Amino acid sequence: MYEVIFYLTAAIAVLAAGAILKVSHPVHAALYLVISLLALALIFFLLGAPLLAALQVMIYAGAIMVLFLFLIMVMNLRSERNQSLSLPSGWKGPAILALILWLELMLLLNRYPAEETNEMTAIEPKAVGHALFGPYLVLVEAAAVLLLAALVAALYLSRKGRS
Amino acid sequence: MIPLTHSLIIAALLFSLGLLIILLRRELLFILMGLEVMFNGAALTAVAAGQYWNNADGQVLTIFLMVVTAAELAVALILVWLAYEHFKVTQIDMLTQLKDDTRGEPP
Repeated sequence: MYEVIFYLTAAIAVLAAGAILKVSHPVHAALYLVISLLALALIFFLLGAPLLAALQVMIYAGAIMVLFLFLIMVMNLRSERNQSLSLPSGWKGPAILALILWLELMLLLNRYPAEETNEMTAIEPKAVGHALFGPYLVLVEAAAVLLLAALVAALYLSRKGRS
Repeated sequence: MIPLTHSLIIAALLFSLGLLIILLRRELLFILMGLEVMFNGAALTAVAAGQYWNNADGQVLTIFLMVVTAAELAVALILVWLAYEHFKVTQIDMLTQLKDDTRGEPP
């Protein structure tokens, strides 16, 4: 059962990534990218990394994809301007993949406590935190400096009145 | 347990799909999405290897990968927006002009 869910999720991740190749509209590509990222979060969970699964959903599928969609909508990359008012096409594929992911998650959450011990060796967030703020403390500081540099660069590039 | 090789095969598939997206869809936004897919393949490699050796270092590496990705995307998306504002194109084949290029128009 566990293996079936894992390989199905992996297939969804690869399929959604492959669908980016052939869709034409950037918004559809962003939808498929969200599906791929969510499937990868489920794979992380199945591999026994619950902290990373949560972070993947929050940072990738939440923050980064919002940035992507914001930029796509600001750029307004629409081929034909005056579309008739109808349900936008192209939502079925991502919706079906997301539904399968959701069903897998429900199945998994129902069976999780019973099969936790013998199916996977989970590395809890506590161990990750100990490693992160123990031997890798300097890297955390470096990451903070990197984020500050990115913030400064973003502010500089987006300033008003550039000549 | 899932064998390590299967996770690595999935990661390799994701990585090569991202590379294909970058090489075939030569559009700025699609290039960034392909980069995301490639980053995810690398992250899956790190996590799977970390779980295989029962070590938290793989997850730490993936967290840093997420930080670097966020910093990269914040700058790259603004650059894409500026390129679109100046040249009104998103195909990178059209972006052939350097700053001191006086011959003017992109083809």
